[in-house]
Amino acid sequence: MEPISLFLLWLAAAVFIPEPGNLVVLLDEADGSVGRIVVSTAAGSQVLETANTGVNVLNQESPPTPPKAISQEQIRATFGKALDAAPVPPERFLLYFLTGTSTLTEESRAEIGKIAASFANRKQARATIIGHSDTVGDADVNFRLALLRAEEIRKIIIAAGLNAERIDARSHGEKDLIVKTVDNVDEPENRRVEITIW
Amino acid sequence: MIRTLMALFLVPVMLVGDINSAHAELPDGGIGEIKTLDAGTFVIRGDARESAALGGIVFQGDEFETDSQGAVGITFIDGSTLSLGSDSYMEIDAFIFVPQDEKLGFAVHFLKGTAMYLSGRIAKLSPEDVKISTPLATIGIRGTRLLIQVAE
Repeated sequence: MEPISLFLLWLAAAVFIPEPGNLVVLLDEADGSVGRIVVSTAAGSQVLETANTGVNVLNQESPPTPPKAISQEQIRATFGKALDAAPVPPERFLLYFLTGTSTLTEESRAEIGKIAASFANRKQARATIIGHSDTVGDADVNFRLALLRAEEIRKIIIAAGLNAERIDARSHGEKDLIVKTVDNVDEPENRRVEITIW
Repeated sequence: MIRTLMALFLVPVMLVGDINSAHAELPDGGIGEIKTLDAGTFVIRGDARESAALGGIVFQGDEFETDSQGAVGITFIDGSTLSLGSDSYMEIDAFIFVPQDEKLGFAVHFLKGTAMYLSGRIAKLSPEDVKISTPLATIGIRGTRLLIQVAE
């Protein structure tokens, strides 16, 4: 048989007949970024680093097949049900506060609508809220201030419609700075609440 | 400064908590939650095999099976998500997420069917601790979304 015939036969099999063994397909993520995976058997490895490419693994004794493009049609036909069952990925927001207070900045107040949309968009939504402070003042005062901030966001989220039992609010005080500073530094970026909707 | 240091000694327990995780008061040992579900999905936990429920908590060691109608989607406390199509079987062999102690691990074994996996913080912090396998192959991860089919 000519090599070209073999190639066509292989292509036909790949497209029209489900192959035995495994198929591993790399996808892009919601933000368009593409990771990198290495598929290995006892006999060797193949690297996938382009979205919508895949490898077949026929048995443990041979390496995975070289990467090939996998069409949207084949992805839907094979993986449609798994893709439809995929949860909405967690989404994280940062909210900022006026110095020494649990009062949101004007810009951050405008973010609340997006947060509400994020939990309205998913089944079984949960929220994890972590309050932070900058390093102005004592650590124990800052721990309580950051907790007040987390609790303030908790109230806002409950008012926006999320069940209180599905919200966890906690404080990391001044121990988890985004902008690393020495003690007693006024840093707006550190006066924040991180809220993850998942 | 001395007052600050004293305050640090007074509140260390309260300051302990996982950093940057999705973790809203799951029961002890809970590693994730069932977020999407089609009937025909079963959880195997120890000797028990029960129909999965929406909002059900997932634990290390759980196995998931779907029949010809079933499908399930899980979000884990590190932010990773995983879903199964119909006629599938998966074992969650290990899930460890204690970033402040640098204890991380995720090992899942797909025995049959179709699955989607979207990596989370464990893969970001320590990709070599994510172990995805099928009966034929292992899959190493560098932060990504992927599909797996294990045909019989």
